[in-house]
Amino acid sequence: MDFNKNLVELLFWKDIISGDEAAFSSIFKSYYKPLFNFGKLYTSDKSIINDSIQDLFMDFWEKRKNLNPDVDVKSYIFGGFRNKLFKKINQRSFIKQFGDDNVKVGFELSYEDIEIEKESDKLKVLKLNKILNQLPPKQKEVIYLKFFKGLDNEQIAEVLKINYQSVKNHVYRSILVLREKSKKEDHKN
Amino acid sequence: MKKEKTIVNIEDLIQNESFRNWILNNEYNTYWEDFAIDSAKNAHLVERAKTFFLTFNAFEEKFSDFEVEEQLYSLKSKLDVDFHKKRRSSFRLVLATLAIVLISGSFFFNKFYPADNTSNYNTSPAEGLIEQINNSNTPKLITLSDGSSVLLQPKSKLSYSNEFDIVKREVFLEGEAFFEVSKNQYKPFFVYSNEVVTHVYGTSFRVIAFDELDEVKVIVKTGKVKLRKSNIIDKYDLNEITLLPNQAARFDRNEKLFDKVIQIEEDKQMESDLTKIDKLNFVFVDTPITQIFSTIEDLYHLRIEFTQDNLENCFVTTSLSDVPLPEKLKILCFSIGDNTTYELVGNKIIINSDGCK
Repeated sequence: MDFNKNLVELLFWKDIISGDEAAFSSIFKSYYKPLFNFGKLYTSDKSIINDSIQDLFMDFWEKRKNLNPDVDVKSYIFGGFRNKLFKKINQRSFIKQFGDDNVKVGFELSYEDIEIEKESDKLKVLKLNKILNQLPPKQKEVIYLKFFKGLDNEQIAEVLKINYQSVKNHVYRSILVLREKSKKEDHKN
Repeated sequence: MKKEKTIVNIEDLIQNESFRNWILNNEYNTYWEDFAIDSAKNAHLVERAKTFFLTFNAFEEKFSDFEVEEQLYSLKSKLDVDFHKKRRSSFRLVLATLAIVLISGSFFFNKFYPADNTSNYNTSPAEGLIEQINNSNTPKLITLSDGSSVLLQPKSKLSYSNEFDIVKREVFLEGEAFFEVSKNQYKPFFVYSNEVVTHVYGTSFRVIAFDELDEVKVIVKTGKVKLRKSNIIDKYDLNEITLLPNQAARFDRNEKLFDKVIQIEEDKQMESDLTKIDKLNFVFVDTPITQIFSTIEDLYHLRIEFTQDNLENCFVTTSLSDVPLPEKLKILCFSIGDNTTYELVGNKIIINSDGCK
């Protein structure tokens, strides 16, 4: 099944390169929501997220002839979006620094955001959210892409521009921390 | 059933597709039911994985298709390509739609809705519901609070609550109606009619369930529809049948059995139930807006008022399939221009516009 999905994306990617507007619209529509939510990991400024998505797809269309037809489409799009977003966040920040240091990573979630009826479930969600937010930034990103967006380790390495082995380490470490912390939280109650 | 590999930690659980479907879509799965009650450790794992899913879901921003269309529109206008004038072969359009469905399905948590909806099917309308009865000779349009539209046929009754429940949308039908349900993967939409429960997320379909007839019929136009027996007749039969576009099913009320029709065209009796609205695909290429309006007037049995002079020379290329009437009007107004709005008053639509750009 996964193979088929990747195949469809790749076919569409090739159609975009050859100037097919319908394929371009389809890819945009299917990636808009996932990218927007990925962006929320780094900023609560929705306009900056939307601008980055728009810029990314403008580039795709305008420079389509130079796009690599054989990329892993998902990691290419997620990675490209992350670059655009980081540039914009850095441009807006007051402290002029190079690198990603201006970008904060966090799962911002308030009690009102959680549309869950059962109060006990709601509290569990808030608790887990707190634990997730205590992870180091890179681990947050890895966890998000792996568990929220279903990317595999190789794709994550591509998106975050780190090597495969460090993705594995990040996953391993964050799982350990999550397990420890949730045990502690459970004991508190 | 395929053998699951041994589950040792929460990571395995979260990434296991059949587990996800079990938790998120309430799919019936004996393997996971057994797994969860096998040991206290397993129960704890399942509970934690569920919390993970709920947290992911709370973090996701929900968008309507319309908002995505708007973003695409603004992108295209920046690119300033003559996108709109280009004509596409219908094959391409079909392929594009198919791909959207396929690709968006590939994002893990799209289909999520809060998992504590325990499928407790009510069979009769509760107190405090709005009842609409159509005693006239023509279909009656009803728009629901979630933006869905229903064409209620003569001699039919629809009951629903003004505000839907937090986890599900439920309506009760006696007679016949054509439904166009607004997409909301977090809130499934249920139609209860005689012994049949129809379960969708956002699709269009027809339900025929007159009390005096021996069968209940469901005919799908777009999207995916699941059917099951109501728990008044069988509490424990959780089997569902799934229908795709152009498929239908009859429920034999005496035998209490479903019969699936794979191709409506090959079932003459079922095909005769279809009306214009079941058949039209709502794809318009360079079509005068006035002509689209008269199509809508004809299909929904209502009147559209607009200033002829303003809209005479407007041509639109758009696909309005698989969205309810309010969404169709929104998309049309959006394609005409910034200063175009609509009002739906009874069975009259008023278009306010100073013309297309």
